[in-house]
Amino acid sequence: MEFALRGLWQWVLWLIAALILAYLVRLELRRPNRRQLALRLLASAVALLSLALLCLEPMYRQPVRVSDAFLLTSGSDAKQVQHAADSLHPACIFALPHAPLTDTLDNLERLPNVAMLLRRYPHVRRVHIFGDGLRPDELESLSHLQLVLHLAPLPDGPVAVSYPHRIALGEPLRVQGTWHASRRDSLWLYLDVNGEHCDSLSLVGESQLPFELNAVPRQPGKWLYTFCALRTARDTAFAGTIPIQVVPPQPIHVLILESAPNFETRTLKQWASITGNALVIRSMVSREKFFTEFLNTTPFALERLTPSILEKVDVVIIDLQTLVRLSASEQAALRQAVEAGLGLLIALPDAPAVRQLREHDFFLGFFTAVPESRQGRFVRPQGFSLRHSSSTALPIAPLRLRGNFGTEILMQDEAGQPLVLSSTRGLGKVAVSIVQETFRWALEGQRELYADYWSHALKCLARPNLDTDLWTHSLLPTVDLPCHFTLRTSPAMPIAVVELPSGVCDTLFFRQHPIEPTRWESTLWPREPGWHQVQRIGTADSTSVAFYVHSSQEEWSSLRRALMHQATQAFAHLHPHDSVHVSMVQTYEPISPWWFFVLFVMAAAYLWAERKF
Amino acid sequence: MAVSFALALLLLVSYFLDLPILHAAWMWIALSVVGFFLLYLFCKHRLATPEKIAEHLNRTAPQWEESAQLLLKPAAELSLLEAKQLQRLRAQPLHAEMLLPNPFVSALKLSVASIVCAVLTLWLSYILRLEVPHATQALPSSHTAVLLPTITRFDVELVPPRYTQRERITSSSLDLRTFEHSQATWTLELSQPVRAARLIFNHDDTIYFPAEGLMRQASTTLSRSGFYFLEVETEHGIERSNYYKISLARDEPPTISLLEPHQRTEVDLMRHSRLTVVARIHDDFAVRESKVQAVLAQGKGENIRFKKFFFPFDFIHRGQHTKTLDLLALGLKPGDELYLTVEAKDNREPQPNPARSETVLITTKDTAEVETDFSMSLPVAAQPDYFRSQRQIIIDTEKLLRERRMLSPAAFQARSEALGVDQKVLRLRYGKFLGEEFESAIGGTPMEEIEQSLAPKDSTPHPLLKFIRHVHDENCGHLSKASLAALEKNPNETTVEKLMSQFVHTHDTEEGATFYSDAIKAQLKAALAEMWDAELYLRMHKPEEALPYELKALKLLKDLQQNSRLYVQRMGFEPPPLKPDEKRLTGKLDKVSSRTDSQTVVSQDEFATVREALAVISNLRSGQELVSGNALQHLTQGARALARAAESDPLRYLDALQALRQFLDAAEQQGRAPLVYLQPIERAFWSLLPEPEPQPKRRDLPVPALAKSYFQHFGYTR
Repeated sequence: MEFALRGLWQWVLWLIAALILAYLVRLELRRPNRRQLALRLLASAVALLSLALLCLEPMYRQPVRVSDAFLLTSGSDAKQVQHAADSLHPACIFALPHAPLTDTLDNLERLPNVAMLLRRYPHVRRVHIFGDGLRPDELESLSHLQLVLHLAPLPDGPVAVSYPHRIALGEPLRVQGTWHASRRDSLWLYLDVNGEHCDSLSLVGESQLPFELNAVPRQPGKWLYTFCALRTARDTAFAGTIPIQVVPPQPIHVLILESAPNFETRTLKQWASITGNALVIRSMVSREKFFTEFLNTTPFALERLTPSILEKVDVVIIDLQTLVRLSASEQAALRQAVEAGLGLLIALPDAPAVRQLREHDFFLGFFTAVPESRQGRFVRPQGFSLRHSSSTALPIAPLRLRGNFGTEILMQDEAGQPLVLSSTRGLGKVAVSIVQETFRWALEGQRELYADYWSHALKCLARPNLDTDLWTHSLLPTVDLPCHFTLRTSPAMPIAVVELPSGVCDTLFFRQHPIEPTRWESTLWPREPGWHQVQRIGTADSTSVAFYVHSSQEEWSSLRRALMHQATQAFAHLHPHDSVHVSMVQTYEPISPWWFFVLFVMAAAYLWAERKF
Repeated sequence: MAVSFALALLLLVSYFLDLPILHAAWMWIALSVVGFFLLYLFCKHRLATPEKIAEHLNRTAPQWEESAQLLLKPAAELSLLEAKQLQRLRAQPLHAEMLLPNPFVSALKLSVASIVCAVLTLWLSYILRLEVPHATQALPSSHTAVLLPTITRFDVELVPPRYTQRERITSSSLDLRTFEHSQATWTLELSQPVRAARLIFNHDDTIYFPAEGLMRQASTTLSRSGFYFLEVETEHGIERSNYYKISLARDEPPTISLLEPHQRTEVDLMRHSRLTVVARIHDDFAVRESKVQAVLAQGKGENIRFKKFFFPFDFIHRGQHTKTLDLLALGLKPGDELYLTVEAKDNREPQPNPARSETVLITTKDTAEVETDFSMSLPVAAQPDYFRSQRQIIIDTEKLLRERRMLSPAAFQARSEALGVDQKVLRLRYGKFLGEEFESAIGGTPMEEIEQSLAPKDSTPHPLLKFIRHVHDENCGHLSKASLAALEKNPNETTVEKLMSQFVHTHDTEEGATFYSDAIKAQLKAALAEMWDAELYLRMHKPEEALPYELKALKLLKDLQQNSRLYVQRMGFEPPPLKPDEKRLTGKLDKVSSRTDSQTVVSQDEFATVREALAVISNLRSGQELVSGNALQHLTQGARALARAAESDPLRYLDALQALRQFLDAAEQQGRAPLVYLQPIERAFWSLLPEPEPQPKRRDLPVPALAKSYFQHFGYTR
């Protein structure tokens, strides 16, 4: 026997009942007329007990036979279900709202959602899932059931797509994914914005076809790109929206230290300063005499490198000669700054001497440079640009670089030999470069290539933004479907505000990740389609992040179906219940309150009638 | 009935009161139904009294015989006659129910008709309401000329230039599509006097209509593509029309293709002195002038003279122009060159378009010219193939030795002999470097014999003979044959001259005539000596013995080559090596001070207005309803940029410009405007913007404290 009312309240109720019973017994005993005393006492007790049980709602235990159930989800095939039903004879067949209607199955029952299955049919232990499967949030409620999958074949269309949600102006929007074609197909994929094609790709083949499309948004703001696929017969095979938030890039601070004025620096200065970046250039003109230039920043003393100076900059570009000539304290400051996140790019004119390598192991210890006899080698650096332009070859220092374990190649030549190598030092990075005279590109008018090269190099090396909030959300937020948010931020107990397209604001509360203290998670149920803004309370408006809520589940349906496939398979893989062989389970059924009511009425009626006669 | 009429009136009134038709129609239906029932309730008793029915029966049916009222009278009150008449009536078959009109039938019909009308109105209004969004979505295109209210007629007459021979066009479509330099005349008919009317081209060029009358005309010559619009200044303000496109077709210059002669033609003047030039010339309209230009180049070297001639074509047939040139009459001589070009001009006015064909080169061969022979100063460079090198001689010797068994002795000897001759020729060649070029008798073999052996069957002299025998001519200046013979007789004999040569200083000796140093000369001599020996054994038909000498000679020659290759004369001043690392930065620099420069670079974004306008549009499209003054200002500035773009590419941008202007007009008047306009505008602004170049930026990397300490220990652990 179990009671619906549990815990402290149950005991309080019992206590009250006992007190009342004691009072009633006392009244009965003190009554002069002692006729039918035993019966009266019994009636009082029964009345009180039935009253108490009315409040406590007792349940009785009932063993139930475990049974199989079929769960039909969207995309399930009626014929397949019928075949399976003929061989397995399931106790019941449930269909979710999106499942196609099948009239041939006799014991079919429609369910509004998956949670209802467990609430209503607790004896179901093994569920055969037909169709595309379930969403992750639906699967969570099936965690103690054994799942047997009879999934439908993958739909035709994009089954995996990845694209950034937020990029800086000048960065490409790169849409990568896989197109699934069940039979040989020939398609044109397009990436459009405002009705204009940005990129196109011809896909021919079958099964899994990878694709990549690129576009560079031209203006900061929130834009909706369209990813569409046209068959050769001019019919649209697919169209989906790709939302992208483009933010203006934050300028960086660059410090250039050089042993002599350099044309390379001059070109870099012209390019970087015009885009608003702050540059400080110190070139040695003679012994302890410097020409210092401050662009887009307030001047400060720069005779000696100090930690306070290095705190202000994001990247330091230095040549080997200057680096070697730095005093011990300056080197220590530089080292400390690099460990705290600063990026350092060292230009190598020739192979550093062994002594230098030993002394400056922190800066130079991650590579070996072999001098090469061939002077004046010209190469075409690669690995930094999407453009397929025929770049002019650049001269490089007569060296052959080889990185040690854990180094990263930022640029390489046509033969795959590293030209720029970088290594992690604390939070920052140290890189060496043997590329010389990139200004040739700028002078030849290949400005885009020059910009690609230097923005890639500086982006890789620049001091990372450690204090920002990093928002991520689940793929394809949709109206009336849960959208999971992850926020990485350092303050404790963050609260965020979501602004809906209609201007209504909603508060988002977070749950801390059990292992990572700076990771916070939350779930939002979007109600309106369109652009939403989310922002942590206590931060500036510029840090708010936009996300787009799709209006219906029909959009990107093939991707959604493929994701459900994956989620269901992964879930079934993670929750194997093969070892559990239980044929009977215990359930609790509530006892109808009418019984207690009738008992109470009878007892009370006896007590009333006994006085009259 | 009256009620229904009232309802219809109500509907009309409601329409004019600007009540939604939908509501009015519903009201109409409701009132029709209610009115009918009210009529029924209130008029039921009044309409159908027994007296009235009797009267009606009397009036409509003659068989009642005007006695229907008798039925109403009580039987007691009836007179005898009346009773009789009543009996007669009762005997007749009378169908009163058929004759009795139901007054409600007509009311019912009217009500139903009214309801049907109302439903129809409802349906119509529903359809209209459905069509309204369609109407706003389809942008008013500039093809359909939307006239201003004050204008009753506005059309344009286009007169293409005379030379095109096209007819004038009068059209009410104001998008102009015609030829360059067409005369356009706009006719404007006004319904009321206005202050001024003008046409504005590309936002900068204005033409005014003359200020009198209601019928006005203005004309101009169209020389630039772009767009224009009409502006009418009335008392109430300025009204502007839509934008109209002007696209002008340019008259292209003629295209000339030369069919004959070919790009480079060589003519034989003796056979054909006539040359036919055929060209196909095509133009959009007509070719007014065509001619052949011939440039004659005569002379040689620096003394070349050019003469230019022009000829008209002889006859022209279907664009094929033909001209026959008499080359001899032109003065073409063997060795001269003639450059032919076809020029043409079309009939464009005011300036014709000129065109030129490619140039054709006609050459004549000068057969009289003698080919200059190579001189003796360049024997090696001129005819290197006639020699056998030392290495070849060695190879041939080895081959001869290998094939010895298969050869007859005579053939073997002949080949050995021939190899000896080759060896001699080679020796002579190298001997020339030592000044030994006058040696004629070699190894005791008479010169004539060698000549004979080398002489082939035909009459032409063997080229090798040039090297074997020095052919004398009159002014050679060499020794006489007698002295030569003396030398030939005994070349190795120590003569008196040779003895004396050690003591006297002689100029112009054979050995001193070369530039080589003594060491090289000595080595060369040694090689020659080896060659001598090799030749000796080859001529003795002992190639196996000759082989070591040949090999030695080759080795010496190769050494010589290597030595001469390495030898470089060093001239001039040799500076001491620089030591920049030691010297640099060691001077006194007390008076030199460091320099600091500071500046702020602001880049001017030429697309700033477009960017701002695009941002405004994207804000408006995302749901901002009211157009603020600031937004209007940005959009107006964007319109200017769009107008500039439309000037060069009206087909692409004019519709967007039109939409933007309509949007701005609507926004200025009402404070809000339909957002449908913004779609083409946004597209146009987007395509105006350039692709941004990548910029450096900082990565976002929120690192927790644990990861931070991990990173700090990860990269560098020493």
